[in-house]
Amino acid sequence: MKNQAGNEMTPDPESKSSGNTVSISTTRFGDVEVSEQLLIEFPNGLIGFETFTRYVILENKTPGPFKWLQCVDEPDLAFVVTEPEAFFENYDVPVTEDVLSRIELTDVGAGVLLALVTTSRKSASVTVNLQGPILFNPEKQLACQLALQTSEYGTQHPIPLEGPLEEETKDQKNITLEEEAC
Amino acid sequence: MLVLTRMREESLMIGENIEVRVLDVRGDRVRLGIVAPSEVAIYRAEIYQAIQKENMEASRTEGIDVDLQLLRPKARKDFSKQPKDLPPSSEL
Repeated sequence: MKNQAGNEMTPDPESKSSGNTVSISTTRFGDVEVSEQLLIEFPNGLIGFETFTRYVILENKTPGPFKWLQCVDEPDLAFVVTEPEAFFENYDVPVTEDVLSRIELTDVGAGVLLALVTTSRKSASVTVNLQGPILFNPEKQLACQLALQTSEYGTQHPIPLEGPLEEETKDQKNITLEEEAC
Repeated sequence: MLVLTRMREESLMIGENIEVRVLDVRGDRVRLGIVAPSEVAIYRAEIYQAIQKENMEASRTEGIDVDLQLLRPKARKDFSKQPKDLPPSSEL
């Protein structure tokens, strides 16, 4: 299976665990089968998307810091996520008791921080939202988006890139897209 | 919009479970205390709106925007291995 960028998605042998699988329709990756245990529940949804509470994290075959957070119930709704600590060494997030109880997290250290990534083709920029990170409890598969009340972290922190997007390669990708659409 | 006048230390109820109390008023600053069930998220409106706007932007990302080869991010550590805290990757 290929997504729109032409990357083959990774089948992971470990996920062939017992239990039911769910079929998810996605705009970007086609129909995807995932183990029910991998579904992540956002009791409050994401800010602005409160009605959608079930997501799953999808990998790309190319290893790297980016993954997809795909909504289970809306094929078109997906976000790129990353672990902000990969780029921002001293990223620190205050977490309230309410948030901890909402995702049934008893030990903050067991939680995983994720941040949503925004890409702009126009400016060829990639930014990460450090003000609204996601706190994920992998044990319970529960997650919650936080809204930090801080001036230190904004919603658009540029991710340090080694090189700009190359026009030529982007054109090639466009051709791939059109072919797949036929 | 419903408009109510409250004095310091007075409060109001929103539904049965949410209480908003005026703790202090100094000039044009008002301190509010809010008692609500933990599942109710409370945000400063401007922060909520900023994150909402950015979430909307982030949801418009297409596969082509995030070609991991092209971006070549300067990651601090090597994330090529599965982070141990994340669930195993989804079967596709």
